[in-house]
Amino acid sequence: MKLIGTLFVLLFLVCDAVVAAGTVRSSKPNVLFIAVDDLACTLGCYGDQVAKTPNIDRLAARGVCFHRAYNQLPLCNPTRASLLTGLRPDQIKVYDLDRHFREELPDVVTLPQAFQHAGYYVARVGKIYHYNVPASIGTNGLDDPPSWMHVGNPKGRDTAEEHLVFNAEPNKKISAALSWLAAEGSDEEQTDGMIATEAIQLMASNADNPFFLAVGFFRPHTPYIAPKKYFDLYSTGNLQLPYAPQDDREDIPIAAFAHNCPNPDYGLEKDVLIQATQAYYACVSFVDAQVGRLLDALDQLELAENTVVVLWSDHGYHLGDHLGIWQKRTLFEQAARAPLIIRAPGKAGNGQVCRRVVEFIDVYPSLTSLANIQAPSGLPGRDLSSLLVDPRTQWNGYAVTQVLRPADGRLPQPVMGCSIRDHRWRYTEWAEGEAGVELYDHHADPMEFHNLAVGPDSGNSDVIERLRTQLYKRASGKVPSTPFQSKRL
Amino acid sequence: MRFLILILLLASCEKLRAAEPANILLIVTDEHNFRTLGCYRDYLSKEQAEMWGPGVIVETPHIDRLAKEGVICTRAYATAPVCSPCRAAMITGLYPQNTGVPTNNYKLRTDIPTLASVLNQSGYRTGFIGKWHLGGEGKPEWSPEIDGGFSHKKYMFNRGHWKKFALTNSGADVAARGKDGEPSYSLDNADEKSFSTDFLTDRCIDFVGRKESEPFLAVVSYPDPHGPNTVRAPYNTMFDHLRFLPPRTYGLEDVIGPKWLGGEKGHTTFKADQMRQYFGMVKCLDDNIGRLLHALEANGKLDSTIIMMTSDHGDLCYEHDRLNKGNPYEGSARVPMLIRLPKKIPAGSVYRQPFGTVDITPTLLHLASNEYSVDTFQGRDLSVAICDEVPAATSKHTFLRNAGTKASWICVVDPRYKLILSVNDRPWLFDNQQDPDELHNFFGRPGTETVTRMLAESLKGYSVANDDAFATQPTIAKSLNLCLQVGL
Repeated sequence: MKLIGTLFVLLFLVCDAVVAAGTVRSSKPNVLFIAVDDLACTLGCYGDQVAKTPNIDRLAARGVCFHRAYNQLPLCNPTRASLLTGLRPDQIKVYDLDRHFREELPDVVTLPQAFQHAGYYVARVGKIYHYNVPASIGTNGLDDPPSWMHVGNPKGRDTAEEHLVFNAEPNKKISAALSWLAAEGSDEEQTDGMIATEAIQLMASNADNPFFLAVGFFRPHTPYIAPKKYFDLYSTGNLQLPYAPQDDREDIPIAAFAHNCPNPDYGLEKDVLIQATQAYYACVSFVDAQVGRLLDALDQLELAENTVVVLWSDHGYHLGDHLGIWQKRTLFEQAARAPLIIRAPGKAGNGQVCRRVVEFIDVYPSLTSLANIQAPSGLPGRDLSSLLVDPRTQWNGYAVTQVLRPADGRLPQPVMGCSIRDHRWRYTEWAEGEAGVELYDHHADPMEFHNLAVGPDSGNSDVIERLRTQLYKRASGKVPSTPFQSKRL
Repeated sequence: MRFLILILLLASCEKLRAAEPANILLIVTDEHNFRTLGCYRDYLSKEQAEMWGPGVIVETPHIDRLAKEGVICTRAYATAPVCSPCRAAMITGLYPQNTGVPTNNYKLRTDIPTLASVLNQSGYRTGFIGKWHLGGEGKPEWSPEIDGGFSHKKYMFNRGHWKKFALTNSGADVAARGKDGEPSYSLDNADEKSFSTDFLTDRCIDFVGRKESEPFLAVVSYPDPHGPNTVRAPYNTMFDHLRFLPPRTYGLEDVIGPKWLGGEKGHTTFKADQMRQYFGMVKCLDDNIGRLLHALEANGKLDSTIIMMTSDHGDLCYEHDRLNKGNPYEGSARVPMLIRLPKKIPAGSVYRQPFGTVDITPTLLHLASNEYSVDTFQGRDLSVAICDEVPAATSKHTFLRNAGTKASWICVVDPRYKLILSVNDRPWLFDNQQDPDELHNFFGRPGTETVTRMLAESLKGYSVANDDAFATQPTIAKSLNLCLQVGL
């Protein structure tokens, strides 16, 4: 009897071990973490009529496509630092292109570090933290060395061909100017093509480890360089500049316009702007093709079933909105909203669109939750897992996006702008309201043409009061006391 | 002077010709969202027109032609937004509660006149081709026993959403069969001859093309675009290139929906492929309606035929998280309503006043001839109003009720507002001007008191005149009294 009892106990132990082993295997999914630079929601899966993006659309069709995901500060360095630390700009004090988050928080555990601590192989190829583009391509940029066990910094023919790039604003560097090149040669010769190639090799050689592989593409950031065939996808005759009413700017505070784009359309002619739009979309399709190569590799290596794929862009992008805003650095919907797609194997919500308001700081706790690993305590973001199961779960989301303006010819003092979005409204304050306020009703006015904060009625005042309370829980609204570089905001 | 005589001559010819009895062709689709028609999109904002994503549209040039050359009614509603009761109202001119068919699968009363029985007496040949759904439970039941007086019913079947038909010695039958040999909804490789929409069109072309001298009433009643959402090639892949997105009103948060929807808020999962197939069915319908118009044109009957196109109700197609119909939301209750008769209706007319499917029979009869008495109908004769683009002389409103033998809601519609009284919620007032998405209840908001009282008066008058017992259900009656006194 005793022997039989012992046998039973042994049997249970063995069963437990088997179950535990199985659990370990399935609870350690790989993570393919794809970052794109300056990519707006100019994607088919976001309803863009022009974009030809079959690969990202395919990812969205198999994952959850977040249609209301908002970054925390629409500029490369701050948004990337925020997403990768899971902390808000006011916590890491990163507002410009130069400051590193470890200056404020030397011991912060980044998202890739959290995966290292959990035994993952963690590597980066291309732009994940900030780089100056194109100057720093091929270097480590403003990297965070503790985040990675391995890094790859390919440098393609695009960097060698900068002299061929057409610059619509010759007085500016091609990093900031509308500039483009329909390049000769193949995808694989471009930096982003090389990044995909190297990432595929890393996936293949680490197929047996759980891996966290961060793949960062440099396009569609300026200069808009893509192989010529992607330019051919878009006929300039079919492209338009966005509509806005003639008096659109009359109710918008000066501070709301990007400090480096004070003149509408940089004073460029319409045909030049249309060409820039074509070049931008060409780069979007080029990056889409590289994402397609990564997805194909996942399938070929039979890793798709055990890999969480997340695709995000550091922030949104303007292509001439509000009578001539270009690029980023605004708190309008087009810059604050950015693509976020998560495909976690087996989730019931896969294939659906999620219209809940989520923030980029939610990515950190979501990925650690999906991998069942420890996240640092006190992260302000929310775990999106329940939305991956049912994208219509009640969520009550608020998203806060901010931007710091330098003192310049327009503004006597630096101005902090803070904006909050809920499922219906966007409310924005400049210098805590001193330099202007904006309220937009997205039910009635999705393009943010009518600023309801100008002479608000009592109903709108209530909305403002409610949103202001939520806003100040998430951002101070003050110009930081820590140093920042005015020319690099 | 000579010119004047010519005009007088022409005018008298016109008059003579107008005296000839007009043919009537009534085209009815099933569960058809009005936003899928180009002619309706022209009268909507971009957000309302492109409900399934920017640029996600199906072109319908043939149906649009009816609107261009006739009248488009922009506020037409299913009198009860479910198949049988709406069809009963359509064909009898009576409200559903008085037809024997308050809800699906009931039998139409045989002791009341129908559009067909009235026209039979004037020597029309009356034919019904396609889905009838007023003969009780029979399925498919070809040449149903209860037939509304249609003299040609060889290709009339009672119910079912079949996709493939074939001719037989006696008439037609469902050609797709399940494993058990029973008729099936399967597509079964249906082609341009056997697919339901094509097959019924061919039968209708035969019927309207016959050489008989008497005028005709032809009803062609398509089972599409009701589910199952399947369609023959090439329509099944025609919209693969479009990126369908859920409607604006899908998956909203913090919206307190009306309780008259019944049950918990549905969590229908949006499936783009269902919409692709739906668009395919609409495109196939449009091409077939084009064939029908072409056939009438070829045999010289186009301009002497009153052509009406409508549907028995809408399909929410994921608006408000829902599929199908049954409630008073626009996507569910609103129907296409196009009428072409160049002799009477000026091309390009737009009728923005309420029109109910109950108004169809008296309107068609009076368009055909002023001789008919339309006093016995409960629906309104709008034959003059639609030509002049003015409100009907009798009542400016139309009335809707839920399908069923028990009250759930009743509704009154004016050119802008919709008032809904239900058994389980406070009154709801939708303002199509300020809130075309129908997300907000405007009942009780300052400025709506007068319109609420007017609508309530009208609804009360309707219920008394037309024996609608739903209005006496205690909660509805209480709401009605509340509305009658609001702001006083």
